[in-house]
Amino acid sequence: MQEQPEIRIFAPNDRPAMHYSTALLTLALLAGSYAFASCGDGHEAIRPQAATDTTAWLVMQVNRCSRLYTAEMQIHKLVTHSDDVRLKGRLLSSDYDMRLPVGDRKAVVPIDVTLKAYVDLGRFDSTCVARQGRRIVLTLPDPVVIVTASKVDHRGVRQYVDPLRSRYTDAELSDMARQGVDTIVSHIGRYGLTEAARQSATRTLVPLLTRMGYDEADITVRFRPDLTADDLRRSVELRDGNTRNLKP
Amino acid sequence: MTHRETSRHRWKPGRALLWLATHWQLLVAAALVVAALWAYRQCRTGQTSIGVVPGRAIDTTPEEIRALRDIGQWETLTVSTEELVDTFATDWRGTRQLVRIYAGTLRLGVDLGEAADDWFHAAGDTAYVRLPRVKLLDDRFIDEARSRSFYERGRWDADTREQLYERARRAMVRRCLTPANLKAAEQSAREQFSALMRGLGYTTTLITFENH
Repeated sequence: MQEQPEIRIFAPNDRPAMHYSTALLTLALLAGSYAFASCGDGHEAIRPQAATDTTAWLVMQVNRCSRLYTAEMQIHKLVTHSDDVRLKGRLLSSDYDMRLPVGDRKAVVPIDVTLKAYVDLGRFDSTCVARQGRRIVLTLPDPVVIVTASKVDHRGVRQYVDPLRSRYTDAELSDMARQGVDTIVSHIGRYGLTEAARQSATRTLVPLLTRMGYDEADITVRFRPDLTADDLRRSVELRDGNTRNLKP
Repeated sequence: MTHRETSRHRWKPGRALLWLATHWQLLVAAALVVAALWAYRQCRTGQTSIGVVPGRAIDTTPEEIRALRDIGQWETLTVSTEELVDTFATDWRGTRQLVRIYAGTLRLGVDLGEAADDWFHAAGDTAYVRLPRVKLLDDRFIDEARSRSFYERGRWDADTREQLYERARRAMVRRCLTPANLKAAEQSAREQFSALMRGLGYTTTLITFENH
């Protein structure tokens, strides 16, 4: 009778025994390395042996302009970011979105932004001034609000990172700050800075006109949101007679 | 063919099941190959996709207005610049390096808030204007949100980043706040105030700067 070949079916008990001592030693080395790498959160006790700093300018652009800044606003914002890794995809025409249990990380970046509103006086000339006897009317373009400076409070930055995740890089923190400023810019209309700039511009120019001999009650400063250089040029062509008025 | 030879060549279901049970690894491998081909076809046709997506957008948080004040700064010259600042250090963990590029705009002009009360007076069709000296209107001119990290190796603390910011700021001031730029800003201020006075009806404008 032909000898049947030995039938061997794989079973869990056939798995080789684990070397627990080796595994524990490896885990201990990894834990020790991580502890050394993150100890002090950057305030290492051992000072660096050498540090070299260099600076170099990359580009410089000089522009002449004529802007009267009349109002300034300081805005503080805590930019927060919650980063959880998600598995997204599509299977059999069904979308799925699930959170992977690999840990989370969060960061808080405080930023301070300086907004300034200015009136562009680059095209200011006699066409912006209308005189009717003792009355004088100045017509100026509407104030424009821009971001003139932003600062990240690096000492106020906080990171909360689970063991399986990596810390935020400098590029990621910078991107968060940039998004925070973009959010502030998108909400500029809510701060009321434009109206404050109009009032401040009036308070700046009225004393000048009173020194010219006009009474404060006879001075009008108005702003046109759609006033552009082309509008001013067209208004000169449409001007009539002795009254140098701008077309409404 | 004899009856014994016929029975040896006949495919019996029992023997087939026993063969499959003893060679189940081949079944599993075949099933994996079929599944892989099916998944590949699904991905190519766009019906199946998979990806690990980390979050990039910030959370929605409120903005706090800390200050609002009137100013009267007449900007006559702007200098937009970028500065590359780097630092590296060597310690027991190896070599660390951080390179950042800062962007800023220096605004030169006249601060009318520093002008004397009688900075303007007129006599006939001549305007006399005495302006404060031209200067850097705001020491805070770096837009750190537009600055970017060029290269980073290792971990750096907040003090280092603050030092890099301050170093970039001083470098920008040193390179951009030159006598030539100050002179150009002053000349631009003369032209603009002259145009302002002409617009207000004065044919002659005499402009002087304080501390000159």
